[in-house]
Amino acid sequence: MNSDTLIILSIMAAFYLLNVYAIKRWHIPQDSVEEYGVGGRSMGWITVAFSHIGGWFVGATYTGWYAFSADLGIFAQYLVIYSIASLFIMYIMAKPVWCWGKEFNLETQADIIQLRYRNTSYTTVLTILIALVASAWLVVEMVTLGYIVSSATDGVVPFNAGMFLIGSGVIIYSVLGGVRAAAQGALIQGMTFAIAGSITFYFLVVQAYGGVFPLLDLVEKTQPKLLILDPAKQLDMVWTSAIITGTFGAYCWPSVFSRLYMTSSPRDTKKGVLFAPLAAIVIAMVILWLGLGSRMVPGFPADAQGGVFWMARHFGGPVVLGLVAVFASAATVATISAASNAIAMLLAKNVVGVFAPSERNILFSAKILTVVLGVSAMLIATIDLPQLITIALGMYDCIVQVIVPLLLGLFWRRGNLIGAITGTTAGVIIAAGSLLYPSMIEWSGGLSGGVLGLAVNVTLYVMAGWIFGKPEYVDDLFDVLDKYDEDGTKWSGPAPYLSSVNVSAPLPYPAITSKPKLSDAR
Amino acid sequence: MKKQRGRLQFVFLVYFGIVLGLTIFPPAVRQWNQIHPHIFGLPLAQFCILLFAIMLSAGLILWYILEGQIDAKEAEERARSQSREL
Repeated sequence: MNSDTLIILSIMAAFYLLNVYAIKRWHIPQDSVEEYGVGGRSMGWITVAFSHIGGWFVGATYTGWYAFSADLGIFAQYLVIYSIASLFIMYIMAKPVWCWGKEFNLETQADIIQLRYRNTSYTTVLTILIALVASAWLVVEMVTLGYIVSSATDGVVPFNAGMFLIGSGVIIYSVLGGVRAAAQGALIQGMTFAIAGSITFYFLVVQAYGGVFPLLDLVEKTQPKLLILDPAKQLDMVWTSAIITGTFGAYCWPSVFSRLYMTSSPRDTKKGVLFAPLAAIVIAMVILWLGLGSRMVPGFPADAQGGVFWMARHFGGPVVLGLVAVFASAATVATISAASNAIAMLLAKNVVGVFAPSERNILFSAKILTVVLGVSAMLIATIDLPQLITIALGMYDCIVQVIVPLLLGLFWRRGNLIGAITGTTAGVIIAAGSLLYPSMIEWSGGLSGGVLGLAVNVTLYVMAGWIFGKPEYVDDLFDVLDKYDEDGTKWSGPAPYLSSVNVSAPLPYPAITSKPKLSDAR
Repeated sequence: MKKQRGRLQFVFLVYFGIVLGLTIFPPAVRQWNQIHPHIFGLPLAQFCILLFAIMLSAGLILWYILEGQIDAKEAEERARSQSREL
């Protein structure tokens, strides 16, 4: 081991020790489902905003998207647009999700589906679909983690060793600390790569190209097509599809959605927009700009996925490489911890909880499932799966179909179970069919199966709403929203739904035994 | 107050619809998907992507601020009516 590798490993070790200290310092015993799954709905906006960034910018930003930028140019910047546009979805969902979550003791997005459509079979099928897709991404992130550690250390720490070492640590703190530990880890990780990361990557842009304007001049002279969405590669149409699926798909991920429940009020969730959009521009743009000119640097590796580490080593030396390894691995770790917790919670509450609905069983299952998911993801990641990223990206087209019953169900009273089932089924069939038989959608001129499925999905949902009308219990659900203000304060007595709603299907989670009263309100 | 909030939501829905439409609607993309002219030293497509990102961010921030003002007025009214009831 040479001195450069020692410096890199020391920087990484120091960073992860700081993480351990912070998580231990603010640890709270995980003795309830609400604490384990949504951090007791007590987190402040800074924690949620930074942990959102930590969980949002996945490790693949430093590998896959970096390579996109090097090979496909400004097309890769769709990441910036959909990251901000998805915050619009977050903004409009914040109040209904938080209020229903507080009122009905909800912790997952499947809980909302069950509450709104009252059909356990539909909820269970959606839960399994979401868990499958999200688990595929968990494996992708484990692979990215191993790749980052081995690339940053120039192979001194092998792929599997790096992945198992850091991956196991993440799983342990996720089990012991629940979603609170995941959020606190992500807070530190998000802050680190939002602030130090942006400065470091801008430093690399200056070192490599002399700044942003000289970089753009260089690209225009040597590879001008990187500065447009190349129509010859249909990138202009793929751009449209990628932003639509990215924007609407964001809140279909369990780890992203569960953050809507974690804050102490809808206002705290919304407050994230004061910081997160600008951070998204700065963080992602500097990384993608560094990638944009990479192919013009003599000696840049053929496989651009590890290119960011090559650039850091070449233009910054071992200290900068150590920092870049920390930012990239921090992004991966934040995603793994949030995803493993959220998927486990989803399966425990909405699948296991259907059969064994006691709080103790759900909490125990969630902890066990966090370990099982983490270990399985690490084991699968050791197998050479060249098509994994393609499968995972393709599955995005399927998961985005969930947004129709989820989002429209929050705002449109006429949305009903028939529309939800027919729309989601048609959408998923079109999205999955286009993945298996791409010739099926050749006529669309580059639009993805996910977007086409989404169009059919929305049409069926709206048609069913107009034909079959609103379910009888829906007005009472929406009345609950009027009782809460943006600070999460409930302004009136017991909700009318308690006496008037006929709950025909059992909820797949423990019965709510106590309701918040005005005196409980903050 | 509810009417005021509804109007604000409608305005921002239209605003985001227009900005996102310009960003992704294929005929609009064809208009800005060019290198020339340069604006503020940036190729047109790069400038537009940055502009759309900033417009979306600014819209969200402005929405939060304006909604906050409505919330404050609403809270004041609610507190007043509660104290009257007591």
